[in-house]
Amino acid sequence: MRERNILLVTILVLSLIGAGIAVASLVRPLPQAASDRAVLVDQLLRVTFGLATAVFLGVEGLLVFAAVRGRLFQTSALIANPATSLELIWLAVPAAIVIVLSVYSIRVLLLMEAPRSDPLQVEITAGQYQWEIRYPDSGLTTNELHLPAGRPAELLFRSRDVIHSFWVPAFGAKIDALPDRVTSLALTPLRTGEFEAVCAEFCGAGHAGMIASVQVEEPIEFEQWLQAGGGD
Amino acid sequence: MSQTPRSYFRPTTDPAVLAVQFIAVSFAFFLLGGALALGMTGEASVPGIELLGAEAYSRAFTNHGSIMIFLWLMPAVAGLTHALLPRVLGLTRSALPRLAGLGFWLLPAGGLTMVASFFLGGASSGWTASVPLSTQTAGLGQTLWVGSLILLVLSLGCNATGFLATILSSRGKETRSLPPFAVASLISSALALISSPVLIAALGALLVDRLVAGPSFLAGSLGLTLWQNAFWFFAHPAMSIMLLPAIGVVSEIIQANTGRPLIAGRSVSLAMLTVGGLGLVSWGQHLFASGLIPTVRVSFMLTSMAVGVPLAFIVLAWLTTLWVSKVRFSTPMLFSLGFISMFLLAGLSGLVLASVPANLYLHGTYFVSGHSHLALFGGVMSGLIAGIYYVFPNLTGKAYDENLGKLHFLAHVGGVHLAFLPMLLIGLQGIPRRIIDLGPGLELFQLASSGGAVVLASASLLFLYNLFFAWRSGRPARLTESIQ
Repeated sequence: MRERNILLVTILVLSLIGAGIAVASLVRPLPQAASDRAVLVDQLLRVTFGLATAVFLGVEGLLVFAAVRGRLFQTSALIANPATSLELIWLAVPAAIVIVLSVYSIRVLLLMEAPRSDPLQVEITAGQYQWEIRYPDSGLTTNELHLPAGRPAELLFRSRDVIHSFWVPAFGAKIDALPDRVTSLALTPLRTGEFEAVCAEFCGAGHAGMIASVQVEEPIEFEQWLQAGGGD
Repeated sequence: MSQTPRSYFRPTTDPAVLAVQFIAVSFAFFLLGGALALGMTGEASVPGIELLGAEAYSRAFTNHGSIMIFLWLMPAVAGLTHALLPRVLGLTRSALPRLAGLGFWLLPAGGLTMVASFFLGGASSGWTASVPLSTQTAGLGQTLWVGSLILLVLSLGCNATGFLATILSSRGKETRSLPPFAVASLISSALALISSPVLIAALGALLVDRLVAGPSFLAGSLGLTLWQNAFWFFAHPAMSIMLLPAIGVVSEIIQANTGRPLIAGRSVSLAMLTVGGLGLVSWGQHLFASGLIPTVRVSFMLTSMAVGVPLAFIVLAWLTTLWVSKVRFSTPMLFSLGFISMFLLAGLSGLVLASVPANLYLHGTYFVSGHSHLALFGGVMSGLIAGIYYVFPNLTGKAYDENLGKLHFLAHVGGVHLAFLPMLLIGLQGIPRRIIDLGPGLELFQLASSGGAVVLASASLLFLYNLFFAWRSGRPARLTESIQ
């Protein structure tokens, strides 16, 4: 009886882990991942969703079974009070999950925020309701963000009125643009394509329309665009 | 019950009357906040901008948020506490009864001010009232809205002070440990008393900034993040202020419907204390994208994640108590089981948001709305409804219709899942919250979410119908029904 229970629990735990791994390998939280940051966030979210799936199925299963167990079996199967060692398990299992996720998150954060060599600097000024993009090296000012693929970029933000938040979902990260100080976001675009930058902090009636086009190009094309003074 | 209908419209110090007053008024505002939600979700379901304009839309989500938090959930939890706290402590009166009465009358005062503000231009900077947007938004409406929040936070402070005094003064000669709901209420009230003065000060500064031109507190030399820090110093623990009483009432209902005390009850009390303590030091979780110093971000991440451990401990203690018992599936018990299940979804989505790198992707998106709605509707609201069903026979002497209660349970659980799970998926697709049009490709998710909102609204109307008619013309409750 006891051995049968241990076998049963082992099978259940293994199938939960299997379900978690299946979810982690199947989901694509950031299908368009187009920067080094986005690839890291995609991995982190996949692992987190896998873990969450295992926990969710496990606890829901336990909840339903625990609720009906007393009605399915005779009351003789009901024990008095479980040992206090059980309380330690209740602490240890969630603590282990939280520690794993914290350590992994810190690792991803360190990789994301690592200094990048020779970044292309771009100054972005937010204002109700548009993004103004300036390339300090060439003095070009435009409303489209063009970046060369493969070269690190350092985006510097400022706002001329209220708080905005710059977000290119395909790049994986966002950063607030504040009126009283400069914030920055470092990333390396990995593949060419056209993306959108949106405002992710409510900034007034025109908030939903505060969108800028983002073009990641081959370095040659980018240089040509810059030389041509931002024309198409 | 010796109450005449008129006694519910008069100032009172009777906790049973106060409970009904709080619950009735808060649910009236719930209908208002719900109507705004249906308007917004209707607008989002049709492509383009059809129902509301951008201005009306921002007014709708701002007031939806502030009504649901300050005029519905917080006062409804206070009402439940007025009903249940004297009962679990074995008292007939509460301490500082006049303060409790003041706490109630500030509620219609603040509520009517907020409703008036809506028609006088209206607040439109989100319930988070981010500075400097909220100092620059023109109009009397936004100013009145700030004033109404001050009244409502004062009401919260009065309630918390009264509950704290009741619990502390109840501990006389007897040495037995406090029942779980009293522990939860104690910690929730302490959190409210610690965090609400900070919000009142910040709201006061905002009010002065709006009324007096010239040097300003918030947009001036003190720095913009002052408001964000002060707001979230209140608004982050606010979740625990509402959630802990729900956890407490679910613990009581589990005890009543399994016929045994909670297993590891003392540790559960300690876990609740830990939830409260961590809630006080995690507010920076909402500022990850605001250019916080990197090491500060990591420390806020660790405290935000760590809160999962005591919460998981409480859930496991509940599950073990159910495991070793024969459970009676009364309506309050079903809602308690629903609370555990949906609260789990909120907790897991919260774990994702606590991680800095994941948060930098998901902050300010529909994912955050999905998480907070799962926590507030799947979590706090389920616990609140469980508690209201639980105290109803005692409070009114009448029995509600159990079958309607069970139908309500099914519709509630279905509605919450259908309405708020799609929000998580919409956020993952890269859609910020608070935008009037989602753009193409997400129609199905949005339609499901709107359908869920309609189901949840119908479920809630069924609940109010059930209670109203049971109270007016229901049969008297049997003794056993008052303790399940």
